[in-house]
Amino acid sequence: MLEARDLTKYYSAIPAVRGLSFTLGPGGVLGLLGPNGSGKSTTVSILAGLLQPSGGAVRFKGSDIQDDLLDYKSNIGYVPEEAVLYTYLTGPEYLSLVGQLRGMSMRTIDARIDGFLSLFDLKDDRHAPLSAYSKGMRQKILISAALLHDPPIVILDEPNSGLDVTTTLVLRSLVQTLASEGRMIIYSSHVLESVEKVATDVIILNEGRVVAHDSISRLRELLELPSLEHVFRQLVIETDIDRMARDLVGVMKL
Amino acid sequence: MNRTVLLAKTFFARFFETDLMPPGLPQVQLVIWSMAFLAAPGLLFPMRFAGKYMQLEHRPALLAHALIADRLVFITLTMTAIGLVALVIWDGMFPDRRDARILSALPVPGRTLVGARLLALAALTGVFLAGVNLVPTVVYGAILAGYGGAATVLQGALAHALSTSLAGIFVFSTLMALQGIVLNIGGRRAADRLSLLLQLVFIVALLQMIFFVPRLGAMLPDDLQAPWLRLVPSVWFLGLYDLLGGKAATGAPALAGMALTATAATVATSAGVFIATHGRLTRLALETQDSGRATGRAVIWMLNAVTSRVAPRATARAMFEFTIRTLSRSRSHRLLLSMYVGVALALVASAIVPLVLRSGFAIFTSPSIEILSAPLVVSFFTIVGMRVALAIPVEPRANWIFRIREPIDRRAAIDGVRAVFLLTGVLPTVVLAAASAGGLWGWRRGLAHAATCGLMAWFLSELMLMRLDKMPFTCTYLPGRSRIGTLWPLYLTGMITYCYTITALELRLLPHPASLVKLLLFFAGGIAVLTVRRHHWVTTLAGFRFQEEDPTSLFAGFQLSEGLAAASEDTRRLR
Repeated sequence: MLEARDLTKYYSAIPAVRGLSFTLGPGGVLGLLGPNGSGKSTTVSILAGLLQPSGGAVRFKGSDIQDDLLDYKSNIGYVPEEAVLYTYLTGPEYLSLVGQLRGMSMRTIDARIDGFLSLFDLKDDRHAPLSAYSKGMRQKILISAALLHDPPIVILDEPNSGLDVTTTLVLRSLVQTLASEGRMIIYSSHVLESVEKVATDVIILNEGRVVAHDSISRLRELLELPSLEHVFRQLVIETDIDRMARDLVGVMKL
Repeated sequence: MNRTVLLAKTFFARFFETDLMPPGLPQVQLVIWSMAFLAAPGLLFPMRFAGKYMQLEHRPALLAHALIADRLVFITLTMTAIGLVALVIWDGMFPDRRDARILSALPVPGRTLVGARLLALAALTGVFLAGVNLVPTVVYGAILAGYGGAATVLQGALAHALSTSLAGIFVFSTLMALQGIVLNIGGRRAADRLSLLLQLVFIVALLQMIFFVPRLGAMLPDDLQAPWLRLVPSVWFLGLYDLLGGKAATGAPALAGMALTATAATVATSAGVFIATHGRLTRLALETQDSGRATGRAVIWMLNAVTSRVAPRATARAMFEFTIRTLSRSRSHRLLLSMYVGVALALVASAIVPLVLRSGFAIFTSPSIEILSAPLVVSFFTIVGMRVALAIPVEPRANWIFRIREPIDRRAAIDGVRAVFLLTGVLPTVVLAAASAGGLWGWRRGLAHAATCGLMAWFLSELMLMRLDKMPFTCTYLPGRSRIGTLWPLYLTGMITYCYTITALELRLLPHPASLVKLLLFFAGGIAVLTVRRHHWVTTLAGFRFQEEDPTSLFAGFQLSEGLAAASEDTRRLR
């Protein structure tokens, strides 16, 4: 069980996240939604153990993760929002580095790297440095690195970034399969459709605060809206979207 | 593999990941290039010195002095080489945002991260110290003992190895401690701002050491006893060298003590700062965005005002703004430029300071080549440095914006770049020449000197842009293509002609204004010819170049994996 209690994060005096709480059990997929600057990335960074919260706590199996952060980190797989990689390494070299730093045996690492590269169609590029990889290829490496050690918690921050349609569909199915095997998934994305398809629960953030937290079906019921996009529009978007589009076209004609 | 060693290897490779080099370049190759560059003088000196000692064999006093002065050369050389290495890997010394984001999500203890980076830094210093000093240690150690500079060959070699290595470690750890302190006090942004200044100061100081070492060697007392020796760090290590060689001069033990104390203190400070603040710096790297500093309103206003005058056409204006903003904001390019400016300042100082030491400030009462050449020396290195910087890409993948909308008016595009040269290379030269000569010898001399220097700098700028067939900062770069290895005599002759021959000519013509005007008109004519030829040449181009030719041939076969990597990339591109 992964639990966040009243999470708060301030950068200097500026609040990025305020009072976020949730509980995620095995098999659960929690979708994190929100516009830019809503606190999604900060939340994900706290859940990945990258940032310490200013207040509140993240608890895993009943213990505060800060009590044994290394143990917690060995239980998570994390796909960051930015494709930060050591670009002078090749894909297999990077995955091997991550696997070894996670204390895995070389035999297991090699077998899994081979499997991931084959399935993600990266075998032909195994000798190329990551600097030569496309955005989608790098994303596949990041996803492989997150899953390499078979973690019970998987945190995905904008995992679809740069992926082609097939891989996006594979990823969606992968998330569902991982959940069905009892893993806990946190799925942060701007792509509402993806979140709607995979998440059991969803948290919608706006300006660092939780504006909705429930299952998607219940949110739709409560607000009497047909889709997650409509729910999101209702709760978060204050701008008249159609008018803004018209204004943008107007600017093009200045 | 041990996790600390594994991470240390990763960090070691990252040290050489710089915008100055193309992405994907084999790290081994970079290390070898850098090593060859830095080790070359150390390989040549022992034989040269041996020849000198042979000639001085029957003049013991001169031989003894030469032995002292030459050891100082090796120490200074090592300090310079290791200082340059530290400046090149400056950004990789402490954890940055990328390290923090990749490694903080992994279950790796902080002590492993600290140990790995310190190990990588130690390995880097060790590798370069060995590269610079291994051959001189063996060869020069034996030569030294043969001519009485050390008690035995073994002691000679040991003294050389230890004193030069400790001198290098002293410089490296001083720079590391300095960066650590600045990072902790002012944060990453302050460190970035200060690093450029520090780098410039260190480059000038390090290069000064090279220019001054021969003079310093001549001034050294044989007994190494003079109060001023305590102020020169390289001399501390000379004392250590002397002491370890087994034939210590009277003042050597005290200097050796200073060398050991200083090295221990800087190593302890740098390691202490690193260990104590690693966690804090990692946290700061995660919590703060990599944001550049905002440009001040006054600067924007000035830039706009200047742009509208020097580059009125849209294409020229765009290129002017892009070039000047890139030069001023890209850390790698600023570092490169600061190196060139550092060389210029070092050359100027090495010409003027000895004169002042010898004759006092009386040298400023009348024009001399040393003083008059200063603006030209600065402009030469600034303009050449800018031309070199233009060839090094910034974010090569971002060049698509130029590729999809390559300027039709290529002439205007290069004119925009020329405007940058005029603003940052020619204008400061004019101001420097007018201020120095005008302030010292009156406005007429100031005007004449400003006109000469300005026209020469303009001429050089046109020459540098003559065959420019790339948009600045957008073409991939292959360092191996540089022809400096074969053309250096030409470049050196060009530099001497530009900086000193022209100054000598100006000095001769100063009493004859009419002749000087004719000379200036000749330069102006030369500029006009070069401009016309450049315009003609650029319009005949089929298009700008965005990729260096034959990108794989450099590395294929050097390392099997790199050859395969290149082949794989080609295959991917073809797909």
